[in-house]
Amino acid sequence: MSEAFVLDPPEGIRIELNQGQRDVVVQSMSLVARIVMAGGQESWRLDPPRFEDLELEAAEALANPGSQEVLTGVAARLEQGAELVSRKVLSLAEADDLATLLNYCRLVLAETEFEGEPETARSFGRDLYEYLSYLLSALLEVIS
Amino acid sequence: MAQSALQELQQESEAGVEDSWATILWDDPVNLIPYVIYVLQAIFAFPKAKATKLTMQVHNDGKAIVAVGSKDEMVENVSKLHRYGLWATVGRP
Repeated sequence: MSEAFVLDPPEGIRIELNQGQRDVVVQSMSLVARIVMAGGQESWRLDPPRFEDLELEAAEALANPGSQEVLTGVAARLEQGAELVSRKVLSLAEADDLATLLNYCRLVLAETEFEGEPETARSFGRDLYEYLSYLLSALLEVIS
Repeated sequence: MAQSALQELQQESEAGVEDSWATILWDDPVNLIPYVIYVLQAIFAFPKAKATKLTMQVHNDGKAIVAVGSKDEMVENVSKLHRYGLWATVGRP
């Protein structure tokens, strides 16, 4: 498999994915955005507790009841990720954004059990997780 | 006089501990080690060696303190770490 991302100074980071591979990433982001907006437990890693102390956490939740806003923002970022993936070249800031979005997908897919789904769906979920992990690793090698 | 100054210093020191908060980064099975190293470098501008050492401490011990300071600063740190998808909390050092 050729490298998915190549450092190409001064332009930035070149995306070396074909259209089919880009479509997989875009559809993954869209799938995860829908899971996030459904409001299930799968999304908890995107908005975890801020305090170790339960009383402080409860006080924080009362003072800033913005959990749904956080998740709505994440879902919007994932939907906008399609535009990033369509690019030929990314700046370092855009590559940082793409790495974060790929990681969001992994965090949600790792918590998604696909219970009651046929084996093909569960297998698809695992394959997707592995593919996104590979892409994130490849991107990190270039931007780190 | 010297006794009073010492007491003052002790009180200041105790007050300092009371006001001291920590950013605690927790281990999890999803975030990749290179990703955690990258994020620590990006947020805290740590040299790669320090980011790697802290990441391995998280991986081996389950958690690591990555910053200490005021409560507001630690809340800000935790928010930044959450935005990258890392699992972090504000606690006591």
